[in-house]
Amino acid sequence: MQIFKQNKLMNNEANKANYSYLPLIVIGVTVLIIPLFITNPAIMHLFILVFWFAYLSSCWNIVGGFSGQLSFAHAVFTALGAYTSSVFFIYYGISPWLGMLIGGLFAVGVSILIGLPTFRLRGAYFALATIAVGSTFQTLLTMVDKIGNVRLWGAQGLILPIKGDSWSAFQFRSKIPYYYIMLIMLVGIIFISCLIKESKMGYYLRAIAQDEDASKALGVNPAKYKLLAFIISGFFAALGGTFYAQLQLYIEPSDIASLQLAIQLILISIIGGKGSLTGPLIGTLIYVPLSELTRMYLSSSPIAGIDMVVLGATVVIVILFQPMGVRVFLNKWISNIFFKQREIEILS
Amino acid sequence: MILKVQNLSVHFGKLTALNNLSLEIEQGEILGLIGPNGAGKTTFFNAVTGYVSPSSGKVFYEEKEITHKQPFYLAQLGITRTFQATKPFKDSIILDNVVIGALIKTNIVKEAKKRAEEILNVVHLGSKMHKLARELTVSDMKRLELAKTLVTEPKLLFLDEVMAGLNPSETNELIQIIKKLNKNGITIILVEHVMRAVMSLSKRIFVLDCGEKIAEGTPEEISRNKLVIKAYLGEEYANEYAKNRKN
Repeated sequence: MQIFKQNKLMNNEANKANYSYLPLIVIGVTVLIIPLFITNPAIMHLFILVFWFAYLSSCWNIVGGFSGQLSFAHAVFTALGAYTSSVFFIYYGISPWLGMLIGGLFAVGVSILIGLPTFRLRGAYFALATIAVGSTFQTLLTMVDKIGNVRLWGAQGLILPIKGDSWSAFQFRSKIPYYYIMLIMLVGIIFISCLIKESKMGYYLRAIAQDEDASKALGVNPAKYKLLAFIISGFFAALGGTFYAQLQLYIEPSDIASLQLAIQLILISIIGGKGSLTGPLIGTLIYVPLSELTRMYLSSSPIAGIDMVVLGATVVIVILFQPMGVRVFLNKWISNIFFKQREIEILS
Repeated sequence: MILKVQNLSVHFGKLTALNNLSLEIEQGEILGLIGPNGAGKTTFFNAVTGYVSPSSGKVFYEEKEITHKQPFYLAQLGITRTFQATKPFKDSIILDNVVIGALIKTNIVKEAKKRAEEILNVVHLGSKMHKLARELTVSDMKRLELAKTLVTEPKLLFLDEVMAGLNPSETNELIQIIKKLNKNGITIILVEHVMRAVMSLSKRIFVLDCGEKIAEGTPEEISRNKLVIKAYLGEEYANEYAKNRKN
């Protein structure tokens, strides 16, 4: 994996290159042993949610960051994943693990349906079109009570039957299995992002993100590669939806299908640094605690909505000072302190 | 004959940008395209390379019809172009800019990198490979634009004002590079306002005004053509050109 890669200019400093893997090892070991020390389920739950947001934002980053297409439709995929596996489990007794895969395949189909017409649009028009799709889907889920014999319960949401500790039902009393499953999913999506980034597709997506016309002159088919990125992104986002349903054992449209969720995924990537591998992780570590804290301490203040103001202002400040994301600051800081160098890109 | 354009017209609403233009280009030729601003030169490039859909007319490349085909498809056939306002991938390094073009011939990034490095040396950008594209000077930017298209191994290359904004020595250097490319078998069509470059490079010149062809011939003939002098070159240039020829 090349998350922690050495800048080419530094190749002659081979002895220092070895140290650049040190942060990865430290973080890896820490993350693996956290459940040994934390027994409070609420805190474990928070850790799992952090991973979950990082995972989904990494999914979004494949299309939103790499190919630069601002998709607001990603809650459609998470909802599709969550509802598909839950419906198959509740009404047909199919294991959520299989339902997860089916949900992913549905997301592939839907991403093609959304992508084919909307990828003809550019910039803000694409963003607007995906907002329309996302809102429509949420409204549909809220309104539709029943499809044939399958009750979706509209706005009330779906409650999954509790089966206790069961791998086949994807349900656990302890938070620890959820923690490790989500960790594996997160490592998986970063690995896949890394493969894409370093491949022909990655180069093509970066070209499309920067200048579609110029990329076409070099033989790049933008529609094809954007759609491919959207499909991969949608598939994995749907898997994240199923995981959420199994973690909460309850899903409702105003949560898993909401525009707010889609916007959160976008903000996380932008704060951290979109188009990079570590951006969504860094963004999550900033955004999730910040949004939890503002909600805890400010939402009961006499001025209504002050928590959202604080959150919004923070995001604006980050974007104003470093449009490429906090990742760039961290890179400078780490290379200065640990390597006494200015050019090393530790967090790619 | 590598390219044949038949009665090509482009209308934007009621405006006729290109009117019934026909043109043929032989394999290995350098064709100059000149004319005043708004004559339709860039529109012609856009229409032939797939960036604008022509209103009527047909385009053939190696006897095969390519009208209304997409630019990336044409690039894969061997037709590519540069842009008047250079279009570098600004946030990528020079090498990666060219790698993107090189990937048209291979799926392996490593191979593409090797190929890109070769081309960057041809246009004298090898030493700046790891710089960000946004940090380049105008002259380097033009050369990067050229390198990006060259790495796709074109057979037919459209150059849109690659000399604009260069100083005389940079212009000479680029003229030499273009001559070398042509010798290696690339057919070139160039739009250019720098007359020194057009006159020394082109075997044939094509003059456009208000979307129509007003003259066609060797550089010598064009410089003496009354219509061209009136519409574009001006008396002064014509006299000077004639004087230089005598010397």
